[in-house]
Amino acid sequence: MLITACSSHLALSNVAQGFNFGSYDEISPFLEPSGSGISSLWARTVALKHNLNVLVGYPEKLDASGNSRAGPKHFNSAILVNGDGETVANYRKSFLHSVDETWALEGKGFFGGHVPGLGNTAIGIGEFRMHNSDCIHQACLDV
Amino acid sequence: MILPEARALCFFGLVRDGNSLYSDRYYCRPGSGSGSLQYLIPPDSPSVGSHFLPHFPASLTTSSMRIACLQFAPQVGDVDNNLNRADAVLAKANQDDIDSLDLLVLPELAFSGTDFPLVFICYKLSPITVTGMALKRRALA
Repeated sequence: MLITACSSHLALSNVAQGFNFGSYDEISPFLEPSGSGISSLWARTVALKHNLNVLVGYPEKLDASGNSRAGPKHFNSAILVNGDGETVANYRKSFLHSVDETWALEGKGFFGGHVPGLGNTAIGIGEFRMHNSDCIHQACLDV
Repeated sequence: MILPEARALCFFGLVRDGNSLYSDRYYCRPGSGSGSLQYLIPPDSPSVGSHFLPHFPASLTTSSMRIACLQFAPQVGDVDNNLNRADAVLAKANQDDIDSLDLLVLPELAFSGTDFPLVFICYKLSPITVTGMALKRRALA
């Protein structure tokens, strides 16, 4: 099993409770369409060039086509691209940090699955504590 | 600690390990269940920088899987420069090393950047300072 945590930091304990950093307005210009924005393009280019898997985090904008009443949905996501430039996984961050909650919706749990060339793989983004936490064990169970 | 069954675990991060705080480094640990956290970048290296580490140390892996973490200190909202920075780190690395990789991992919100590190730094300061920085940021927005 391989665990990849596309994380910006770890070991937080309610650091930012009631602390409203970031906002929808700040992230809005940088939102990327699912799997087809600049981050995904970069990942595919590098993956194809070197024939490897690339995992990159990006702010995802999911257009609600077919449901005009619902606005676009935003996620703090990570896309995994294989050596052929194909999307293997598009993980949406679960267990959002309060910073994310200002602009992103919650995903549906950790990604877990078999990735050719990597084996059983889990993907998570988040604040994983080193001590006294069972947070990341959920990633393990998903695989 | 965490994930005793995992063959490999890699992540970027700011890590509080006991009473010590390490920032902007990435880590991996072996899957033996008894190994401790390994610092791929020594704790005394510069806290922010651009690094490319081609693989886990062989002793930490049970197979020939090769993983790299690409760290390039992305700046919030500066997408073009962040892309260039990532390209530059890759260009400086040994191309054969890159070609032999199974997986390249980039951070959360890699090219758009994120405010997280600042939040974490604030955590190390007093609550009053945190509030002050938030107010200042709001005033500048």
